[in-house]
Amino acid sequence: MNLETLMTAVLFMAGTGLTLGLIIALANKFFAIEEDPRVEQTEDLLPGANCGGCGYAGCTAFAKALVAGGVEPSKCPVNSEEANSAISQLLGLELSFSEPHVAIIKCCGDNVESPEKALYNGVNDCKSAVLVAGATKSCQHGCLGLASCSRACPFNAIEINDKGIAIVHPDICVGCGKCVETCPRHLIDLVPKSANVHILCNSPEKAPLQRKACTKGCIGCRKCIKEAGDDSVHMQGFLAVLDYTKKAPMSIIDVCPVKCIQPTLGVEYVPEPKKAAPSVKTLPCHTKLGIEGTVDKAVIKKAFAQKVAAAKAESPDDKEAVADLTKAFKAANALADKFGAEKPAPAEVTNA
Amino acid sequence: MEYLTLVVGAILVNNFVLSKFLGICPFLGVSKNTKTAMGMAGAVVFVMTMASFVTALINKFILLPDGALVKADLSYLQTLSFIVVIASLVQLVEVLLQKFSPSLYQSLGIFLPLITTNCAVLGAAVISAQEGHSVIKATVYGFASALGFALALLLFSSIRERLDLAYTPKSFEGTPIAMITAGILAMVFMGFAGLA
Amino acid sequence: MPKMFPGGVHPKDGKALSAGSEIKTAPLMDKYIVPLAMHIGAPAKLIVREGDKVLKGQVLAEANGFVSAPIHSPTSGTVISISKTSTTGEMLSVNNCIGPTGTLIPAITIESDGEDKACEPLPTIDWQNADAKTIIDRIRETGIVGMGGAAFPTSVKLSPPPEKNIDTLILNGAECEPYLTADHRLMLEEAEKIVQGAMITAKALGVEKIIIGIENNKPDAVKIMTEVAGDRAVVKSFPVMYPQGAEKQLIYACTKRRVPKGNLPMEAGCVVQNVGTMVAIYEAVVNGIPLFERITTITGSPVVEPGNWKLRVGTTLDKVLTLAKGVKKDVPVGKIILGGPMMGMAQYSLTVPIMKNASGVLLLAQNEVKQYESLPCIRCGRCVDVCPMGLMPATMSVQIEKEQFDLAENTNVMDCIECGCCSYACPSRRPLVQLYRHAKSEINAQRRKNSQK
Repeated sequence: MNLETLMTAVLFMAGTGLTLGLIIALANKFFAIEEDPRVEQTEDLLPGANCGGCGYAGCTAFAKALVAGGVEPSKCPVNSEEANSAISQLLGLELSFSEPHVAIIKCCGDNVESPEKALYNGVNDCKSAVLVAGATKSCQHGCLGLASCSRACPFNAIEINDKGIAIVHPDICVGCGKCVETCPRHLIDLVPKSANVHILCNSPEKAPLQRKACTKGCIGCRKCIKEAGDDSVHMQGFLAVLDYTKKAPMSIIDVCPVKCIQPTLGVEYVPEPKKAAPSVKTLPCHTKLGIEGTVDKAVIKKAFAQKVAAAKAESPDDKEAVADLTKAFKAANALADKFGAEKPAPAEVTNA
Repeated sequence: MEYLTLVVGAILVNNFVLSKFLGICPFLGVSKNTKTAMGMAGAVVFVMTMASFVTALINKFILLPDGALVKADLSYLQTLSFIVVIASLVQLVEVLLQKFSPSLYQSLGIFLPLITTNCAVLGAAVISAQEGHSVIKATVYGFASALGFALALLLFSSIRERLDLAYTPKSFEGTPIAMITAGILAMVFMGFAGLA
Repeated sequence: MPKMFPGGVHPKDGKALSAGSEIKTAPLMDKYIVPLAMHIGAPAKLIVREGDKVLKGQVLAEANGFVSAPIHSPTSGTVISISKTSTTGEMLSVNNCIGPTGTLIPAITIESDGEDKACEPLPTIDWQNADAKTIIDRIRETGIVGMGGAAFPTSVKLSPPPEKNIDTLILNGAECEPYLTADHRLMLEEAEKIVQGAMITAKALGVEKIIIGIENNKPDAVKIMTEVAGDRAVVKSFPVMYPQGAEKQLIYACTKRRVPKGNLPMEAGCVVQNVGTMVAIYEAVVNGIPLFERITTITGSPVVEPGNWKLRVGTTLDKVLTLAKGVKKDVPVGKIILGGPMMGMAQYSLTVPIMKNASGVLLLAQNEVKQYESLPCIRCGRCVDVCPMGLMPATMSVQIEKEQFDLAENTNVMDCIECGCCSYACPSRRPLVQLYRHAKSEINAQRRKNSQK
């Protein structure tokens, strides 16, 4: 290999490279299109699931809309807070927080509580089944369990349980809302993730017909409204409905007679233990007054008055009996004062 | 007459994808949708023809000993210079496509720049160089083999679209059944063996 | 004579059970549940209130819009319950009834007072000298809808846009559905009323030509209609093939004209009406009686006495079965169908009322029906052979199953007439018609969304 050949080779490669580079540079100049580099950067910060939860056709379309302005990054339900703030920083937008939502299926009437009234052969899809005889569930407003919503979920957050109704797993659900329109009975709602109690019934029927259709459906007894006390629960016709902007107390779960109010899936509801009523043993002073051991001063007073009246009626001159009774009264009162204060609940006592 | 043999040979008998097994990357990657596949085929036809033409020119006039421009034997620079030419042609196609058909540009995605590494393009150029084809013959060969690539892509994408609607067992869905189909298609093209 | 359209199937005829039974009038029932939506179009608007006393033929609900029809009371009595919805607009079981498609529909319940007193009939119209508008207004006022099964408001059908050249009125006496014989008996017993009704309709439309199409498994009907019609109408008989009575197939058979894709019969210059509708029009125009009765075939192997009955709208299915003397003791019932076996709807409740378009109540024994799992398509092509519209049911069904509705639209699923021939022929027992109905509702919803954008 002599220098001449080497130089020729090097010159050739350099020449080719330069020529081609020039051609490409010219082409880029004449055929270039304006594309905001921020679109691609934004798209990189988006999850790429293309679920449509933001209301746009996909992550690319959403990125374009973000750069164009007029929409907030928090519209993407899948993205974490950090990713959203990163996008806001990149594009110079104001950061806003939107409460994460999850889907909930408002029906707890499974095939035990609301059995099928006829045999159905056909397409195993809820929307199709409703076209034929309104499907075969006893309740005209309940979940059919044919999994239209489950198939539509891009994150596999909905499953049909072994009793034939659909349930959403709130830890997987991101609240994109794709399932909402798949339900022909409009049972799916998006509710705040922080809500921990739900009324799982959507049937507006009156109680007698409701009981025939489903043994777990809301009968409009209003016990939950009484228990809640505020207007976080209100009636819509014969159906109790939660107002998710207010936090309903979890104790409404206990008062529902048909058990259609349930906590969020995965949240365990432990009812508050009832406080033990304060009490005291039956002592001689109580026996003298003719009552059981009690801390109720009213009861003690009444018993004392009765005994005194009886003693006076029996022997009006017997001052000793009255003095005896007075001593017993004072002792009982002292005991009531000592032990009448609310005792701590037994569980805590044992733990301490 | 020899051109006819060359063309039939390149398209059917020695199909680049189904007989030589070159260019499998876009064959499997872009064939889910016939429209996109045909877009890719168009891009490859352009690149392959131009590449065959330019590389044949370079080979004849510069790289081979006693060429018109350079007397020395630079044939060891074949691979290097061919790749440079192909890469710049692909870049050119990308720029043009982005300007004139942005939707196709989006749907091709990463496979457009991957035409650079498509062994079919380099293969056509190198085979022409090895066989000692003239510039015109090399260009015709490049064009015909690109047509063969397009034919294989068209057949495969149409079958794949139909496969989407069929009841494939769960473990075969997607790539596995596509590969089996590609294999069967290759076996089918073996039937052309006696043609040329 | 060869059959007049491609495809078609020969289901079991079953007409012998009731073809020989004369039409009997049903006795008065004590309660009638009258639905407000017995027609295609907006449900009628209630004008009576709970507790009102009504007479037979009195208007209970007015037509709500152009494509709608009024509802009349089938008997005299008291309105004991009116349609109510919940605060969210949902139907409540207590005031409404289960409709033939199994969902709750708005309804009024009338308790009969036993007297069956009619209200003043409307004045007779001298239709030979009246103008078209008078006749059509009377048809609208009396709530007449298509009695063949579709229940499209007849006044709308007889008011096509003036630019369409309608020159032929076709009467549908084919009755291609198995088991049903109501139209057959009507043609045997009320032939004159049918022909006169046809003349009235022809006057309203402004046409000269009337053709009556009958399948030739009813030779007695062909003979009587030919005699009675004379030169007023042409009677044509066709070989038996389901669905010869479908609109598009009947138009081609009678006039050799094809209805263009996606269009209505008026594009081919024809209007098709059922023979039952003709009788209703005669009664409305000449006798001033609104529509609240129809002829229905009650039949099936489990039924003790199959027959054809003149039923009033609102009769519930359980009462209807008592007219046929109930169900045979040793024959377990598998299905109860409103309509015929090919296009009818199976029912799960006997509280469903008879509506204006209920042409038959069919019971099938348990050994005549099957529970089945549908299997994947085996591409045998039987469905393509039998489709009377020349569609490709196999391809469409697979596309719909994979939710590719735009592909299905390209394969012309919107032209499907839902006759059921493909489901009947499919060896894998696939629910094809249900899939197409689902696809049509999805495509229509998508079109609505697109037009709103």
